[in-house]
Amino acid sequence: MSIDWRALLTFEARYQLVRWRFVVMTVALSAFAVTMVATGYAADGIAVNAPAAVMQSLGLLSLWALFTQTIFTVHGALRDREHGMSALVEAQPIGRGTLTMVRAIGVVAAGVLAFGIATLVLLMTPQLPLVEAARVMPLRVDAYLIPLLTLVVPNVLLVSALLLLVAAIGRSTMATYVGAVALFAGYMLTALAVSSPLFAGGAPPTPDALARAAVLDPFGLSAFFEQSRYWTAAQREQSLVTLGGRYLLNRALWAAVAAGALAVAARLMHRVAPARRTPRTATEAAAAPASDVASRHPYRASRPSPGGAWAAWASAVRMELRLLVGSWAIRALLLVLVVVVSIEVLQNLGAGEYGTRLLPTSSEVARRALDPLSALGVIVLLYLAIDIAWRERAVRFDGIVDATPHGGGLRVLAKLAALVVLCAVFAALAATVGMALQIGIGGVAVEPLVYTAHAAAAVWPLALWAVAVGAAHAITGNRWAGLLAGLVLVITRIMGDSIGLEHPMTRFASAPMLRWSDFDGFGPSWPSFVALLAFWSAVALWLAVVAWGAWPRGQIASLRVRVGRAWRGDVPRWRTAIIVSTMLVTVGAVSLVRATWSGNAWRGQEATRQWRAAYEQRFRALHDRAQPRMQHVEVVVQLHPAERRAAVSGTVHLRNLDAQSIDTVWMWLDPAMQNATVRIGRAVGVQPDARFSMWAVPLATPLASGDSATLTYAFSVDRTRVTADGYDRALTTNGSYLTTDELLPLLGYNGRMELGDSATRARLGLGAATPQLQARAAAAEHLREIRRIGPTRAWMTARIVVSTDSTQHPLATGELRRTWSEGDRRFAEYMVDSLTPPRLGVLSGRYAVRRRAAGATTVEVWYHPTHTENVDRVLHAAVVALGELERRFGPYTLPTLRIVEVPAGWGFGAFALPGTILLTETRGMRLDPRREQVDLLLRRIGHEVAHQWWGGVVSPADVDGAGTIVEALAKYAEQRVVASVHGDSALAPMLAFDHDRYLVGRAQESAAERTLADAGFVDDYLFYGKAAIGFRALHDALGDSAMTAALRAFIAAERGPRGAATTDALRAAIDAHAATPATRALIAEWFDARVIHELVVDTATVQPRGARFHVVVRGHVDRVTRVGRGEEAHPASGAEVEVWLGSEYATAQGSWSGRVACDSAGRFTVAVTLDAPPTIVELDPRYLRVDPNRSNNRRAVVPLASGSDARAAVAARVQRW
Amino acid sequence: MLTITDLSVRYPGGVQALQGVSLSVDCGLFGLLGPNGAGKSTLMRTLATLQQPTSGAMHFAGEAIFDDPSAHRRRLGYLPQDFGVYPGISALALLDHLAVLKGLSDRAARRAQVDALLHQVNLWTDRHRAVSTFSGGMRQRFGVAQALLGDPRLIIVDEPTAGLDPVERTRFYNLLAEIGDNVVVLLSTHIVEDVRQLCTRLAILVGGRVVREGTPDALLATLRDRVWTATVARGLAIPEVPPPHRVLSQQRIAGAVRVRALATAAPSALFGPASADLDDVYLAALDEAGVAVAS
Repeated sequence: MSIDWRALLTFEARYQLVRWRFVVMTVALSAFAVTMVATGYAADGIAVNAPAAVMQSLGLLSLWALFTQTIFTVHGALRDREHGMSALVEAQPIGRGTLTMVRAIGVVAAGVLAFGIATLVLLMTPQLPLVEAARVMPLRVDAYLIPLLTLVVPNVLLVSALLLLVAAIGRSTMATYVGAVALFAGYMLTALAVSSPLFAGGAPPTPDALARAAVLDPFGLSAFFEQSRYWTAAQREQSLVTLGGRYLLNRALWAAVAAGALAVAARLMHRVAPARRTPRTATEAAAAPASDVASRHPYRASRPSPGGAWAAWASAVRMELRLLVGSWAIRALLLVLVVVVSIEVLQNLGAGEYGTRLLPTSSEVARRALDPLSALGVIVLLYLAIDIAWRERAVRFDGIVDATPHGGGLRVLAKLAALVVLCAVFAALAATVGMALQIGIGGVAVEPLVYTAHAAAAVWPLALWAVAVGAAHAITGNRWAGLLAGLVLVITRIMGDSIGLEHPMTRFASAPMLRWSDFDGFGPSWPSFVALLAFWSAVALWLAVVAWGAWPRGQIASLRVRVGRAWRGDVPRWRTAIIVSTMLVTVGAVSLVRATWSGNAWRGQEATRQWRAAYEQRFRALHDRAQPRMQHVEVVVQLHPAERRAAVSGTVHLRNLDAQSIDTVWMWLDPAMQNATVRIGRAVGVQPDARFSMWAVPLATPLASGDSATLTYAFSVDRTRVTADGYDRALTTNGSYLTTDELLPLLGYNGRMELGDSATRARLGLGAATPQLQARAAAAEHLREIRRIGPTRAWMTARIVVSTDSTQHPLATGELRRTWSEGDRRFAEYMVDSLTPPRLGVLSGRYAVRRRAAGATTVEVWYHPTHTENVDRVLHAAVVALGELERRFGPYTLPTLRIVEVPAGWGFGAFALPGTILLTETRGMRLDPRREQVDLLLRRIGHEVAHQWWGGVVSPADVDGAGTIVEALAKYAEQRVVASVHGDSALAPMLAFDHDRYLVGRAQESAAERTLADAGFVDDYLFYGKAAIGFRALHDALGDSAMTAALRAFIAAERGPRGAATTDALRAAIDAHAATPATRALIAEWFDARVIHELVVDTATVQPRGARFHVVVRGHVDRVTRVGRGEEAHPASGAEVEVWLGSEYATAQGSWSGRVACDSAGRFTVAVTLDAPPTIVELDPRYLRVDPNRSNNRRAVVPLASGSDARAAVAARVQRW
Repeated sequence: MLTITDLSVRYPGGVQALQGVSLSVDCGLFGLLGPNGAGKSTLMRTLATLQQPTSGAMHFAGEAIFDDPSAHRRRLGYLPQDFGVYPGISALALLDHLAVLKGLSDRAARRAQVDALLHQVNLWTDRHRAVSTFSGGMRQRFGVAQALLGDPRLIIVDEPTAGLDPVERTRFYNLLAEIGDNVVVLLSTHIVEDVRQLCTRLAILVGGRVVREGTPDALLATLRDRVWTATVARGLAIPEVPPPHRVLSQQRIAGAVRVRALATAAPSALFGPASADLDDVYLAALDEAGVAVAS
């Protein structure tokens, strides 16, 4: 039979394209493209139309194929069934494969066209005045074309093919929706595996994991991320994705999967539906006269009662649930959820820093188990709502039901309730899977209440989504419009803040993220969470009521008509319900606005930027004005944890250490502080500036150089109120930690208020920001000043008196002098007797404590009474660290080292104050001690103990390089502590982590990369990442004793309040202990250069030589130098490379390691004769160099002989070994 | 009981489905005859409150239907022309659910009525089977059962026998016939036989208008002595029927063609008088309305 393909395709194209749904989806995709450009998506520090930004944007856009192709597929593959045309179509002589092919082409073509138009919009948007001209680079069409052809189109094809397959198998829209959800889940899991930038992950992935995900990610983004992970800003603006390697493999693999799916779908799609075997019953067979039967069972009419609404609603809910539970698609969905939850839990438990494992505590497992619901759950609801809302119409049962008294709006309420119940089922299932996994892994008791709390917190917003997306269908009266309305709500929720919808009251079901702690449950954010979700519940109720009235019964009229009828009384009691629910929403909105907006002076991001800019414009002149320094502070803190309130008062002994006299003392208080009072004895008054929380205190007589004054202050902290942001755990019912900002006023100008982003500064009329650190070259005068009077961040002594509830322990920085009780309160007095950097902390919690002596020092660990697993390890780590670091850097000067556990949710893993280390619950105390590659506790404690010297004993000058002094040396010290316990080899996994951290940070650096000598306090990728490799390399080059001697000398020169440590001095100290010019060159390279290396093994062969084996390794090294935002590569002439030869099965005879120098072309050759044949060669196994591509550092050693027989013989001989 | 006054329904697309329909229907079975597209289903759906009239009024038992649609639905039983069911739900469960939606909140009474209806429609032995697996006849019986739930005073059955085999159709007639005399049963169909079997009154709807209304006898009386028939063998010319006489139908029977004509006198010598039946009434009404009835 001849087939008129053109006619078939034309019909298909008309069916898919000349439809509102196509127009709406294309507009939605285009709007998303515009939003991405306007908000600078994937364009941090680069042009918005840079190839990498375009690639990532189009990759993200292509994920929308999960929605668009679902809709196109339902219309393409299931329309015969939906519209009762199956028999007509299937009876035609046209082949089933042909028809499926035509339908598939229609589905794919619709998607490709919609995405093509969106891509065009993405291309054109940068040319519009939505984006600053400075953020737009010249147009490169290939930057759009290549991702479109290699990412978007294949993704559309893949999603279409898989959904067509699912449709062919399931023959139902519901199955297709579940297929889309399963695809999304698959993507989520691969993204999770590689810490995709689209889904924030915990730890950086290993190269193996990256490679695995690069191949397996069905959407190909992971393959692109693998390629571009270390791209610099310049590369991201220049480079296109390479159509090779794993990217090509990925695309080929999934194209093949798509082709296979299409082929199978073609076979299945138009098979004749299998005959449904229905039992032939007595009824059909005998066909007894109805009247005979009826006479035996007389029908007695029972009159409907006017009420019965509840019974009808309950029956409808039961019916909906019955239909859901009976659906195999829902069962498949639950199975998908089980898989996702399991992987999410297991993956995250092993995704602690440095790949360490967390204890499977109930809170950690419950959090991870219920996390997927927030994204996956909403997507599931979007699809399920379609099916549930339009169920009766789909099966043509609507006529009967609509004609019943309770078959109208009440039914939509039942459907919404069923969706809500389904949410609860999802949460219960996720929690159950979590509990099962926790029991399976073992080690920590299951706490059902914690699971219940997490499940409730997950279900509540999800239930609101269920109501909203369900109601959207009833209100719009059209399933695709309903889906679109739901999608708009979801997108607004996710991306609303980028278009100015920042306040949680402007995005549906928005509420603070909750984080459980064993100390205080969900902590201070819980009241805000409850208040906001209560408001959104009122909104959801209102939507449900509108849906109830607007539910289309019979013929679908316009919304205005439907609501008008309901208002006029067609829907009993609706008018009352809508009035009451509207009032509820109004009252809720007004009270919440008062609480979160006006009550707490909430500002959006732009308002905050303008506020900070205004602060700078008004007060920047104070930056250079002399202000007195704090010499001694006496702080009294009355904590009331149960009420989350505190009263802070204090006396500060001030002294003018500058040459010029001071006529006004300026100070800044955290704006969250309330009821603040400030007084200085010799002041003529106090001039508070409430807008900026700035206080001016003019003095009656100027404070002359060397003169002193006393400042008294008081304020209160109240964290009881509902807020729209600022959900920190500073003041909580158990485990409070007040920082210096919450204990002391800041004297003078607060430079931290200045905006950092130069484009924003320019837009707001600000010049260059005040440098936090001065340039090293211009620091001479500054250093002289510091040496005369002490650092600008003045050192001081302190007395702190803390009181708290009698059930809690009051803790603070300093030495404990005494404790006492008064009434139901417990008091403690702490003293900081010797001059110390001005970092204070006050804590209160229901702690247990364990102590251990470490020489003259007592180590204390204050911990949650149930968190006992790691207490001894923490004590041991502290004792070891103190011993090792005292041996290297000199004595620890305080009698006590206090380690205090703080609740989960703080932004740090651990934090050092003088004499006190804070260790967070989830990132320290609750690590799984049974399985770990890196001894994270020892590393972390070692690092923080090292800060007692670096940042404690030695304070950096406020000049460039301060970050290196404090953090890089602590990093180095942590390595020495870990090596002292576990040996040098234990450093490799740590270094691999830091190596990646540097390369990723370097790639994301939008400004010029600083050197280690210039690293400031924000350059964490330098002082944690690069410095870890660099100082390890320097330690290796100088030797342990020389390095130790150099640092001791540095400490001796720079210690104390009049120290002014700089990286110049540090480098000089290390230089002084370098034995050779090569070592000094290496020091210079690490401190002053921005260099990485590309090490490559070109060939590695082994050949028998008598009874021994001759090995030849050839390779080359490139030195890659950072130039501006880009880099240049040249042969690394003279560079030294460490080479290791060995095998998986370590044998002494077959291993060798040594160093080899490169020739002027950067090439090297190693030729050694060994007793046994090595199988592997590896360059730089100990991470002495930064090498972005380490996959070519390692290579198999190939047996070598002339002729294939000889090669086989050699191979056999090598094999025998 | 049921009064329809000047009812018009116009769809958003501009189609005038009903134009000034007025009917008065008392208890008992009332047939609504009409060709496809005549507006029968629109009238039924409007009576079932599933769509709003553009103009006109409908009263049942003296109460305007759209003044309180919910109250009207409590006394309504509706069997649409074409309906599906939830997949996988048994007849018993689905009927019980619909009974609850009808407002039968007393569980025992509801159960008793559901059981009785299942017996009455002869689905008792299949009550645990999913309705979605029923044959067409069984499904239609289920439809009747649900329409009878809750002691309805107005029962609307839209094209109920379409697709039923003769046995099921007979069974269906018996079911409808058993419904009490105090109930208004509105039966819409284009099958004249249905009306003939069941209805005490009928109306013929064409192009959204009522073109005939009355008892079958009264309608037949309008054609008394006006129907003529002729039978010619196959191959012979079909006799001419000169205007103003009109051909009502041409039916091929066992190799011959039987022609029925509407005329005040025999159109030709080949024609003889015939007693009018409802088919003739129906076809004559269509013919008068300008619908081509014979070819």
